Amino acid sequence: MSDHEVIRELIAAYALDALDADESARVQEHLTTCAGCRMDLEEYARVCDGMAVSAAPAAPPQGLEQKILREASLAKQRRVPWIARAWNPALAAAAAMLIIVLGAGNVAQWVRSPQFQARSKGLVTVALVGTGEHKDAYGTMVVDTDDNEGVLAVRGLPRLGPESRYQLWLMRGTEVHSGGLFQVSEDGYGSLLIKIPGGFRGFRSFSISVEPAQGSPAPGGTPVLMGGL
Amino acid sequence: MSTTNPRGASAPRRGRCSTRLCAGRARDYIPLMPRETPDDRDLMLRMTRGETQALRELYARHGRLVYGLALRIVGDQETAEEVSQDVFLRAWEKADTYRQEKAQVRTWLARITRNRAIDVLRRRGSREARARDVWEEMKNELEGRPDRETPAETEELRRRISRAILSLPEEQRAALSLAFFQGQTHRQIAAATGEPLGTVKSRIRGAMLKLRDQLKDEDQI
Repeated sequence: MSDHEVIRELIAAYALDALDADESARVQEHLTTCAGCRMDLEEYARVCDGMAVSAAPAAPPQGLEQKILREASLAKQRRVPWIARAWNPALAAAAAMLIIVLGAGNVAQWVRSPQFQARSKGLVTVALVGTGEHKDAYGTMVVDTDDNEGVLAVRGLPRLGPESRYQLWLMRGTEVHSGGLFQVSEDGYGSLLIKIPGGFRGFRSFSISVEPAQGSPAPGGTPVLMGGL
Repeated sequence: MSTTNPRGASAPRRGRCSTRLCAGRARDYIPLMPRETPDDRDLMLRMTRGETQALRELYARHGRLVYGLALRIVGDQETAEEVSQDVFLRAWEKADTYRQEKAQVRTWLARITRNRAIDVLRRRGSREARARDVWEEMKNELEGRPDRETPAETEELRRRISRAILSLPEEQRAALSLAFFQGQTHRQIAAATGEPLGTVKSRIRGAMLKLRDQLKDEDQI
């Protein structure tokens, strides 16, 4: 039996999250290169969704609705000060935190605002779009072309097993530089503080691919997100 | 002529279903009382704009589904309440990440619920499998009257899927139940049931293959 056939028999259990960590990592790695197995995974994930809906409904306790609404209102209030704070010139940590709190989509909107533009001359944003089966994934990079630091936030990518990491690539002519490695949370959210010793000037194309956990010297995997200036 | 179900989405046709699960079984259908309320997707859109009223309506529509699933997984009311709260707050915070082409809103909520509840189980460290078939436990409830507090189309969908699951061989269903509701791995299920690992793997795979085939044309998931 080929490795593909062995893995294919594990896809259903992978969708259920019923594999041990080592098996799960093998499947994860295989999925990055096998469209057929990714299709199988989608179908089994749908079965899992169906099973989730099959559970008998039950009346929630009195008061839960009010608790949820109260917390939601508080969360809504907490969002405003972050936006109102606008730009902190110390790009790195503050922006990374901001991206985590606001989400990539909101950051893209925020950096287009007049308040932000007025205070950030050298900053540019780069939209990254998902490719292939990751077409629903997206990301935003905010870099200072006059400096050597930037931030990246992505959404909608699958969490990787322990043997793999996402790696950001920056292209300038024929040069390819690694922007760093990162993982995403279970809900597909990830961020990265990027440091390029020579600065960002001249980089025009950016991509993210799945690479071994220790990183690769050059892109080896198929890009999952791409973007350019 | 179309009707709307009690919570507003388009009602399925009465008397016959287009899916393979229930074709021709008129008894699967639940009489609907027309009442106009916003579509789930509209609620999600309104939530991205910060309208807490939309969250209230979403909870009214799907609170029983979320809480019921959480309760089946975590097994106690207090934790199920915490999970449910977490799920709706997450939906509130992440409404902009919902993609309607990927899943129905109820499916999206149910998926978040299952993931959250299994996370809780795993954090507790209670990984010792309790050999129980949750679907078997729900069998009697299925024979009873439909849950009137749940949107009719959700209730119909649940019954169709439950019947498909209950049609699985008992041993396949029991293994699947341990994996799905208790977050057990193949190996843990084998240890808990005393069955060989290979047997557990083939039972779960067999069950998933059958359900994949049976749910293929189910467009309400």
